[in-house]
Amino acid sequence: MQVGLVEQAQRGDAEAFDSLARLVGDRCLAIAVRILRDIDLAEDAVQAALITAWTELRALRDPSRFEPWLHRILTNACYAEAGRRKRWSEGLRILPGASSDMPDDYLTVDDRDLLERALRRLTVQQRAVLVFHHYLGLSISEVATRTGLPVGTAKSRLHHATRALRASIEADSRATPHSQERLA
Amino acid sequence: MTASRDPERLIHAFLQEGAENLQDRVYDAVRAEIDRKRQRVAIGPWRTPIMNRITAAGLGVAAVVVALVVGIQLLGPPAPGGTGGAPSAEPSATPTPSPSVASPSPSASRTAPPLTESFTSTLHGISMSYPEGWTTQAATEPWTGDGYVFGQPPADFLYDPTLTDHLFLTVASQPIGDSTPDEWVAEKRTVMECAATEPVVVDGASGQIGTDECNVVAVTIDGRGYFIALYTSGDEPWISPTYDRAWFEGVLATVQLQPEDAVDVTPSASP
Repeated sequence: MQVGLVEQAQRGDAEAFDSLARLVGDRCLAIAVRILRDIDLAEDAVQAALITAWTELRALRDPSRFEPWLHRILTNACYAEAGRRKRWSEGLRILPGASSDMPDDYLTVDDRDLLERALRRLTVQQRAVLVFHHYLGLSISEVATRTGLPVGTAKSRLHHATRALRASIEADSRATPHSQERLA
Repeated sequence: MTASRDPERLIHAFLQEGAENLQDRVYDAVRAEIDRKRQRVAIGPWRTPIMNRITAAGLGVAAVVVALVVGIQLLGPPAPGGTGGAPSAEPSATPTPSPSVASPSPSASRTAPPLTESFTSTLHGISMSYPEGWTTQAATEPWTGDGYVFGQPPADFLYDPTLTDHLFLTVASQPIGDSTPDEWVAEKRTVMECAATEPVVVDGASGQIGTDECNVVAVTIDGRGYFIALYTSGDEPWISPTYDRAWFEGVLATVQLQPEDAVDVTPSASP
């Protein structure tokens, strides 16, 4: 179904593209929110990515690769949004996943605070590889495709991001013994 | 964080939390925008060289076969009472010339030679096909981004030796430097000298092409900007209809951009 819509949209059918956007929009937003840590910025990035996808769609050679192709556009849109608006802490809307009433028996509120802070200390590029790898569960080569990186670079970026994340969490845990106790 | 809590597992769990719903207002905004925006015209092969070459070879053979078949049908032995081609099922006993089948004017009978030759720029990181019988003049100096003058060293020129500066293709390229791709293309609009432009993709490189038979392209890829133009003189009325936009797009379809092969030489110092 998606391939058919892509082919129709490539012929200039805006209605088909609208349907296609509604099929992939939620997932795009989920990715963008996780990369940008801000739902307003994420919505802007998704909107920009979908518009770019429309204008560039005829350059997509394999309609079955629409979603990976779109994710690469989305990644660039996220980078652009991150660079355009430096408002990581101000005007922040709480992400749906960070609310304490979410059913989760594994992460405490303190865990989430630690992780949120640690993620925000990473660069947007580091967050992108983490999101594609851990959220979408993609292999390194697919992460590389969606971030426009050589495989080796994607691999080392994931390694450095994970190491930075670990260091950040450990530093915060040391600074707040209360959290450390909970995590222990 | 303790050793018992693996940060990778934690981040995995953290990122799995929550679900997002893109608001209708975002879809509506996208829809409003795409109703206003035109899609880029994609010309030329996508950047998968092996497939491109095989496909291009196949298409080339197919085009030659079609041309031969059509040529044989048009130029084959004339049917009795006819002017050539397939015999009429009901030949007229008294054929009468009609204005619609009058002898074609010299301009209408011209056809561009086939794109059988291949050109690879020594400086600009581009290769393309050009017509049989044409000749080339390779660039010997880097292009500084200015307009082109036939025969000047910074650009490659591919031209009909009998028509020289009345009919030629020219290509040039330069690193886009600190400019974004859009900025570089916007800067080149003055060099393009087209009343209007529209988006285009040439061999995977995005940029702008002139509209209304203004056959000039400015595209960028991998940090390099390319300028490709077809110049047709108005002095010879048959040239523009023969070497028209369709013909130019045929040339663009053969373009292969190789920014990694470009050479940005420094101009030699004056003696």
